[in-house]
Amino acid sequence: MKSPLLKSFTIGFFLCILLLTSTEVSLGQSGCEIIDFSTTMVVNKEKLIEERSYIIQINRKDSDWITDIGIPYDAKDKLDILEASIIDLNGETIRKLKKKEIVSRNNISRGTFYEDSWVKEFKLKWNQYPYRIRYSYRKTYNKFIYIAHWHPVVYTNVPTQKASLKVILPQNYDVTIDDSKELKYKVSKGVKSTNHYWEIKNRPAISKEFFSPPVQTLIPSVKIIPKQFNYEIKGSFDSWSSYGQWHEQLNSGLDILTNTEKQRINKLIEGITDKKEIIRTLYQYLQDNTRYINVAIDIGGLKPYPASYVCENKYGDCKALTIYMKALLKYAGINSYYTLIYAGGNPVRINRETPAQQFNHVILNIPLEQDTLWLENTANHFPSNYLGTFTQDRYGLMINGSNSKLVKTNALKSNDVLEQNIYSFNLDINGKGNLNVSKRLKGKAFETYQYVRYKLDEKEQKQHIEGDLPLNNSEIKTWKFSQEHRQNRSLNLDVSLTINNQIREIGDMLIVRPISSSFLDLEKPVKRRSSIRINYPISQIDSTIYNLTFINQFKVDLPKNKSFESQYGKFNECFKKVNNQLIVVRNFQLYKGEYSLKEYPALYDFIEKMKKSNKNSVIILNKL
Amino acid sequence: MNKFFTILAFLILPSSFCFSQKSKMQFGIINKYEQNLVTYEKDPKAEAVIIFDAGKSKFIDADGGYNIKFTRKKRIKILNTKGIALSKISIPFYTDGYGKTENITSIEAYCYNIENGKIVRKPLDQKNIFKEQINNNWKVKKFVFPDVKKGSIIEYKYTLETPFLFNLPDWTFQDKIPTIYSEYSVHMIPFYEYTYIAQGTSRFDFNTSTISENKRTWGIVNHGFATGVGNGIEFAEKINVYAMKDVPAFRDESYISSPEDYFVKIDFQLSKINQPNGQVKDIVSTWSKLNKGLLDNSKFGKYLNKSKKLAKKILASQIDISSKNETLNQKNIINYVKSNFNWNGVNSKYASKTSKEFLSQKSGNSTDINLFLCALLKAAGFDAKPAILSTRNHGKIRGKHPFAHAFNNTIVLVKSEKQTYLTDGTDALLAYNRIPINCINEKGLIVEKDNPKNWIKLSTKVNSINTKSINININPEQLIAETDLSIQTNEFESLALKNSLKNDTLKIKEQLIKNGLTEIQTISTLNYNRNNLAYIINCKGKSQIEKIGNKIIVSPFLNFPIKENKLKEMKRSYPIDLIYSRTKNFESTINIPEGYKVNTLPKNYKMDNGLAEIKLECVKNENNIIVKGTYSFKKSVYKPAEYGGIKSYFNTIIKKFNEPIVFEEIN
Repeated sequence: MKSPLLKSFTIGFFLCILLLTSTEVSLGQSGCEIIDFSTTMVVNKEKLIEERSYIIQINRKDSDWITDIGIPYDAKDKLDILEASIIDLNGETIRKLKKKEIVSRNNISRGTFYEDSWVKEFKLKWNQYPYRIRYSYRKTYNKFIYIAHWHPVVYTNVPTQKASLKVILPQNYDVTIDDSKELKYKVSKGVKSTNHYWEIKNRPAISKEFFSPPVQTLIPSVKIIPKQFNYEIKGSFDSWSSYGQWHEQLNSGLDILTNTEKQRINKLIEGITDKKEIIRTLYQYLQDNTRYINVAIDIGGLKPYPASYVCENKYGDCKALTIYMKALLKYAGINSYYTLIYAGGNPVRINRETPAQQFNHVILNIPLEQDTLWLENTANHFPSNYLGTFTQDRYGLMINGSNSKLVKTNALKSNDVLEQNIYSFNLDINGKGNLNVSKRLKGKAFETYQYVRYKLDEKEQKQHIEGDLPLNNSEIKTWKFSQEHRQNRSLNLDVSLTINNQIREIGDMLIVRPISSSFLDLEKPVKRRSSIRINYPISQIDSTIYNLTFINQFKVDLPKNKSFESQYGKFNECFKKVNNQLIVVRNFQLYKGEYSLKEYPALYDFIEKMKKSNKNSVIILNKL
Repeated sequence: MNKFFTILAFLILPSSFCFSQKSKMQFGIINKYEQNLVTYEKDPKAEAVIIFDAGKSKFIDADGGYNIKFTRKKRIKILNTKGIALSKISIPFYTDGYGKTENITSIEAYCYNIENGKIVRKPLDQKNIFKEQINNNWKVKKFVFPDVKKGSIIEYKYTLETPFLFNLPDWTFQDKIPTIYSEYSVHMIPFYEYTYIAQGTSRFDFNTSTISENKRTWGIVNHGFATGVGNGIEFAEKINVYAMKDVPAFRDESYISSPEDYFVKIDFQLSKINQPNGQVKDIVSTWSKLNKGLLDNSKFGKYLNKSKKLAKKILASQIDISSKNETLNQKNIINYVKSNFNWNGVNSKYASKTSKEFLSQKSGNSTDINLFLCALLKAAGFDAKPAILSTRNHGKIRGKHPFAHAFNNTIVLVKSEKQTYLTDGTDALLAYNRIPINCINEKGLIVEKDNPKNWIKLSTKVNSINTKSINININPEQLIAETDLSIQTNEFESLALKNSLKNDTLKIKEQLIKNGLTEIQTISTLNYNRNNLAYIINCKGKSQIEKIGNKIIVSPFLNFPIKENKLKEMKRSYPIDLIYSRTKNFESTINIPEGYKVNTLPKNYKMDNGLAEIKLECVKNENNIIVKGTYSFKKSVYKPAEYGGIKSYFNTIIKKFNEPIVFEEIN
């Protein structure tokens, strides 16, 4: 296998997918459209019955992909495929799917080692365009914590003509409804039941945009949460506290270590009295001895494996590793709280008004006298109390019996994410020579490079570094990672390269174009559809030093220093000549923030101005 | 338990080199060398090392016949954190869908760590072994070793029992990490004969063939009488052992066909069945048997025959073959298949369904599609034959033996007076007389009755061309150039462009902006669906001009020429596989802006040899400058010895084709 260039991989931590009923939103193309997508949810005694039916029109051959149908289901639920046919535009059946054309296989999500999930797959392809396909299925859930978690789209970039959701609830069945205003809503009361109905027509496809809120929040949705539920044990979504109590009960008795493990811990913390020191020691013990492996069976989506499972296997998912860490601390006499959170660089925000299972990850909260510590238990190479771009600045649910409540994690500040790069060139008059790059990485880059450092092999490391350096005509000779201490929130990377063609000769001038940081390619304002969300700041200082021994033979024209600022960030660039050296220092900051679509042109202009400035900053050496 | 292990380890301590490999491979016994291994001296980069990997295949009695029992034991030392990923194990096994299945039993796995100077052994809990269904035919048993960290030794063993005697398990001696010792022993019985191919090595470090002292019997054998009574047979096993030591890690390199082609391995194929009654049944000891076997197979020859009947109906009602032009009729048939059926992405040399099902479902694997295509061509009276091959990712066909499993795909050979060509119905963006890139893998075998060893070359002689014509009209006041651009491509160059941009204007725009255009007014494309014609992208837009001092700088070919040499290694031990030969042409016309004169022009350059050609020519006219550049890589595959040359040609191209034109303001 060719080693992939890991530009956008998940770093350091792993999500464990806490059960979250989600719409299968994935990428697609035009050339097909959803004619009708209707969903019915019925609560019947202890069961929840979901029926979905789809009519999809395919206009061109290159949209046949949408006729590859996969219906995921969990082994503990029941799935019946009710209908699957190809029809013409008048609704006449062209072909019915045969039972034996349906294939079942395990459907294990990425990053998960094993789970009891399956998918039934079939194809409904025809050769006369346009044609339609119609299929429907019924799923029966024996356990549920959402009655509906619905979006009126099948694929985010396939347009939808009509989508509807019907929910039939028994009389006096207490629910919380969280629905979008764009949807048309009706409610009617029957003898024994209440029928809710939502509908939307003509939803266009949407595409992904930079610095935009997550796509799930850009499309309408209906979420219906039962006030009372029975998921392994009975619980209530009356309040965050009641949900927390249910979780506390679910987790009770799981935070106990095995005897062998206790002995190890005794030895490990013998003589340490400082509380923070104990926490750090235990956290590093977890980091050095365990790893992330997710095995989710039955209600493994919500209930952790006990700490003893991690003691034995030295692996677990985020829930198991967190319970284990909690058990280690508990054994050492330190109290800590299991905290549910929505992890991700661009997270879906928790709706604080609606207590529900809105999380996909677990971390640990340790209240101390002066401050609060946080532990991410799936990352082997972060300092303790490091919450990176994945969990910073958001609400999580801290599980603490009836005192369970939403708590906010700290936000990354500009100094927490500062990246410093020093490029030091030694060049001859032909632009040939060597380059030393010294990077001091923090924030997202720190997280990425810790992954590169510890998880990638030499060849992949080289490829990653190569892809990340804004250079042409270079060859990496050596590189070295260093970190003064594992508690440091920064990492140094030194790269040494040979380099070529760095100076252009034009007539009797030599042109040096300082390294340009790669700015984002934002979409033009006319195309922008969504508001802006910058989840954490970006802060970079790039210094470029050219050591040119031949410089005395030239008269140097330096560009003007530039500096500008807006409410979105600031940028400055200065140029200096000191003896044989040309020095360029660039400083770029983008602030964390949220802005309406109206403000997009101004943000766009700010970024474009920087790009332009970058482009025009050439150093000219004129022959004397 | 711990004590027991340390004592044993101590006993075999004196020298890690003097005892035999056999004792090294005792499951459960870890020696001091293995314990103390921190970095593997022969490959200090290695994240882990395979201490041993040993397999054994034996025929065992099963319902009056035989099954093969394959047992394997393997030990790995994890040297750093990157090696921890190797502790996830997946063991695939096959089910034929007709009631026969392979079985995996007795998985045992242990992780060993040194704690306080003692070896601690952690067994795998059986309930942590999972079974995953990959598809209808394949399942895997998978597990993760417990308690693994840097420095752990992990070892496991399992048994796979298979009723598929055709598939005597093969053995790969090499891995992505280094292997200290790898051994495969096969206990042959006289009833089944296999031939084998060894790849990647000319000899084994250890290779013996001995006759077992213990006799086995088939049927009832009575020794009471001198002549023997009963219809049974007594026989001895022949034990063949193949072993390799110190096999280096295989680290993937770019531009190779498939790592499978280079791994050190040994492949077996059933060649003969010697029945107890003395009858001999040749399996595929000859090419004609292989041919006949396919032609008689319900998923190949019979599928083809049944398809012919359906094909006649389709020809009568849906495809125009009325032309006098034979080629046009063939083309209509091939294009009909391409536009009416979808390939499901699977390559196989067997059909996956009946031809009737294929026709109603409109989708299938490569053989479903291509045998049906073959049937349509035949039904229309053309000379068409299926040809089987091995796709690039499946590895090359090696050796002289007719190994059926070396093949994994079917295409079609069409012969007519005008031309003979290979065709394929899976890719709608390829010309009717071309086969997909994945099929271009040395040679294929034509499946026909009377000519069993009819090989056909799959490599393509056709040169693929990409031509860019650019017209740059500089506006010195605004530092912008009106730019007209036309990209014309054919053959695989057009396929690459079509596949990456899908004829989607937005994607094309994005790409052109990367290539140096700043604003795009119009884009049009031609012949996206007409595969025999050049695919053309035309565009009208603007490009940015650089002004430094009183000089204007223009890159005549914008950002189109390559800027970075992908060949970065110093030398190369495998061929450089470019798949097809190619030519890139650039032609650019640049006006001399008013008030400016030419300061510098790119220097002319010419180089031409058997491997490549590079040419750059610049002509200055009264009002404009014309720059023409062309380069060709003449071969589709280059030898390792030619690597240095190819690498330097790329460097030359990068330098020459990116040279700017400089205009200077007239005072």
